[in-house]
Amino acid sequence: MIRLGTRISLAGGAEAITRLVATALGLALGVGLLLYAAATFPALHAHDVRGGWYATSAHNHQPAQDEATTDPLLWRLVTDHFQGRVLIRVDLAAEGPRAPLPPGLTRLPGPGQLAVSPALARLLRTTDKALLGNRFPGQVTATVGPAALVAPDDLVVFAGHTPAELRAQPGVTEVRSIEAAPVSHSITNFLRVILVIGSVGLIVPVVVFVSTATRLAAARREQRLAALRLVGATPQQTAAVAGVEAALSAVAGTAIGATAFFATRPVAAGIPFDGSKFFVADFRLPLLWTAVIVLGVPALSIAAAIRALHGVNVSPLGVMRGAAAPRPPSARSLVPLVAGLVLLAVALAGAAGGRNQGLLAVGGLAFAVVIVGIMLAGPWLTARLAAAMARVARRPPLLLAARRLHENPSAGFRSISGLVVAAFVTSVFSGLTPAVVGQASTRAVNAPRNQVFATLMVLTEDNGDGIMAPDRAATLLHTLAATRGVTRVVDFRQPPPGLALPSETRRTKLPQGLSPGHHRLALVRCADLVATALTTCPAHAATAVTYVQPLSGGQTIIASPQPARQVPAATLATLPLEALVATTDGSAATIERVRTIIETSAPATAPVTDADVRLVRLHLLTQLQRLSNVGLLLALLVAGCSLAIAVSAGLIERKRPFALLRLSGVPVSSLNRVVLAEAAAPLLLVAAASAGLGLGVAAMILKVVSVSGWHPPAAGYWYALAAGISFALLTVVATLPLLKRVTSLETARFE
Amino acid sequence: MTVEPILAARAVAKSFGPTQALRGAEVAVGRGEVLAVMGPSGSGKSTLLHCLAGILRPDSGEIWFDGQRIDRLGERTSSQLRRDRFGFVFQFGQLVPELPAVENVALPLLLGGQRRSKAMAEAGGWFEQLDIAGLEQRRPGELSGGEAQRVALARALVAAPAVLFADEPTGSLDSLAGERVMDLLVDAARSRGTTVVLVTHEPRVAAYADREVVVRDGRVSALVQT
Repeated sequence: MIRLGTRISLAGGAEAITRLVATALGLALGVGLLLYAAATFPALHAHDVRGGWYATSAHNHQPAQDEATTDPLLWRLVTDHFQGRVLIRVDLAAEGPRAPLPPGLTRLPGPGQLAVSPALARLLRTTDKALLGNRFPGQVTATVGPAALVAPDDLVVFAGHTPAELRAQPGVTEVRSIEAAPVSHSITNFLRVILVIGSVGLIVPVVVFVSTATRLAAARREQRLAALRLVGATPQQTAAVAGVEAALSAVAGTAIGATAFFATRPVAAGIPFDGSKFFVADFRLPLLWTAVIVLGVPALSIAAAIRALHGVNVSPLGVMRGAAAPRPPSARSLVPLVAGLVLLAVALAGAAGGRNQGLLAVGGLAFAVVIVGIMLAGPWLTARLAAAMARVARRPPLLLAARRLHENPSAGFRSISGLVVAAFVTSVFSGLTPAVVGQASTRAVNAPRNQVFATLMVLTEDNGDGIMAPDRAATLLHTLAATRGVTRVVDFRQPPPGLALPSETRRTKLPQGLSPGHHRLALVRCADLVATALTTCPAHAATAVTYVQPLSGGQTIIASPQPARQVPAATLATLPLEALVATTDGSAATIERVRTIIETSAPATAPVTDADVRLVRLHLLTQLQRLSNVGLLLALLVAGCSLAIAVSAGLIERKRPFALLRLSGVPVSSLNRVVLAEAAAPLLLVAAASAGLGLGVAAMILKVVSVSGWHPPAAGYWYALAAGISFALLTVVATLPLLKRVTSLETARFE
Repeated sequence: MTVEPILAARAVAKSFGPTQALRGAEVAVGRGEVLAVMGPSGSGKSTLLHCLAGILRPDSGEIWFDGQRIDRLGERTSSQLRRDRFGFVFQFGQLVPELPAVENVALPLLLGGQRRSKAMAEAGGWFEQLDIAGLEQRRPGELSGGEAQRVALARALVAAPAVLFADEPTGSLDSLAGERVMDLLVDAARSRGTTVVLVTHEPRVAAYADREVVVRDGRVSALVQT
């Protein structure tokens, strides 16, 4: 039967081969996307694993070395920036031959030696030293290997020092091991839930697409099977032949998809869809998922082909479609959706009550049930829509569309189900992320983009506070002020001991964003502070005392200035320097030159601009949004292709009545409107319902887990939704030439 | 029988690749006349019907309808002519499967811009006349072959066409059902003065016509007065 099926499938000439190739290419797209979906988690995890050593400290969660057997290593990691890119600078000094070795190095750089990443090495060769190289003077003696690089183009430098030199500097920690635990996001579970949601959102449209692509050849296949029945084949044999034919394209499609996956990995690795590029090897396939995809897609395709035969009676005299309409969906089909929503609410309530164990599993299960519920409820909603359309239709196109949808709402919904699920998942995602983004954004400083902040205070328990003595500060400030492009330098000074401060600054309630124990007070000239445009100064005060707090991302909060009349402005220069703000002409060269000057004088410092702060603080959220956008785009692309195939298959099925209608004088434009109305009506209604449901689910999640208040989705979401629906409608429009062709008068004559 | 011609083919030739389907076919149909076009399979009789109906454009020759030459009309005008002035009944499968019978019948009226309630009422009237009352809400898949052909006949006549083209209208029916359909077709046409061009290879069906022509080798080669 396999040989016969193969012969029948391949012996149909160019048309049969074209059909097989088209189906195989459709399946290849599905397989390729599924393989990428499966490889994305390992790729993202690889980023987290390779970035784990950034968190090296005296108390590592997962030491890479046995701390009992190592010598101390003096360690200071500074998150620096260069022209919008993060630059990781590690100053280190071994205090013994068995000091732990960071990843990516074969030996520790000695004093005056540098190990730099390949991207930084290229940058150093082409960049003025005053802008970059002077930040870490020394001789490049080694290249940092991939094990220490999150992305191939990461900027990383390990700078060797003598222990004595480094011990004298602020911000240095003594470590006995390197952290080996992967990066732990502060909202890891939340991130994972969102990634699970995103994956489901991509997989469902792909599965629908695979199933639809298989149905493309169904109509012609049925005719051939009828001929087989005429010469004595049993229904089981015809099913076997159908299965073999589907298997041919499925196996070819799977092979092409897998080949395309491996062939396109270098291109995909260059796309920083989580904010960083990848190494090609990061896209590795988990064995289990690979097996599920490589075996599952052909199995799904074969099952879809055989199942498609259930709707028709392939008799020796031809193909008879069932006379009776399929049973209309009942309101009972809403039960799984409601059950899924209840389960989701219960899982979330459990999480809110502190019972986090199993939240991911139950939440994921509930979410899957909701998606299945949408798939089951969709036909019911489509049927209700069709009934309403049929009642109000005044024109034949809408009436025809309504009747066809009402006749088989499941088929009508199937063609748009991928898009609908994508709309739902994206809506949940987009409903969740702005809340978190909004939470983070409230702490961002809206500073002018031409200012460079340098906080000399260092957040460390081990090595002093890093403030700069007045004489060194004077040199630094003078150098900065004399630098081309710098228009003003504002210095923040340490208040003298015993200074009586205004009551306002001693209040127990801190300004928003400040943390007890981490903020300091600083004195600043009012004229300078006002000139920064960061905040105002009390009226008639020459000097103000203000809160200053460095944050871990390099951001500095300057808040609540109060008059400090007892400290004359002229005496500030005699006080230690705590922080400074340099206002520049905004050019990248000036900003980098300023950074380099500051870092040369204060190596523990990482001067930042507002753009750098946003880059760091929103990095994770940017990742989420990028993932969301990539997932949405892929899901919509796949769903649009499914819709186009489903519409094409529907046209071929109705070739005869449509052709004869056209022959009877019905203009092709009317038939076009029928096809458009059939696709557009359920698409718009059910997609809107799904999007609304998705936003509702997001609001429910936010309310229960109290991440933040409800925020409407960003404009990008609405654009993406509109673009997705427009794309889907365009795919339908793209099938209209087929309608014109299959109903052409020449064709119709022979019907 | 002397009748004023409403439809005529003059020296019509039509080829499909190397095959010459019509070679100078000449035929005229009178107003209200029922004309049977007979001939063996592959003789060109369906091609002649399609040329007369403006579905095919002849390679040479002329087609005239109601004093107007129609073989050079554009697609839009030709479609409008078929929709407004012609009706069609085919062997099978012309009904839209998703529409109930009554909406299938009302379709030409709706396409012509008639209000839905009026179109449905008008379509409903045909079910009584064609002896298929009670089947209005059935879908084509729930009708027998004879019932479906009568619904198709109602759809062809509901817009009061000047000419009804019937291509093997009983080809898929048993003799009893075929006779019933032909009785209704001819009666309905005559009562409304509708011209009928009936393509068939069955003499029994052709016998319903006022006049028969025979197409052989692409020519209307015989004229038989009935």
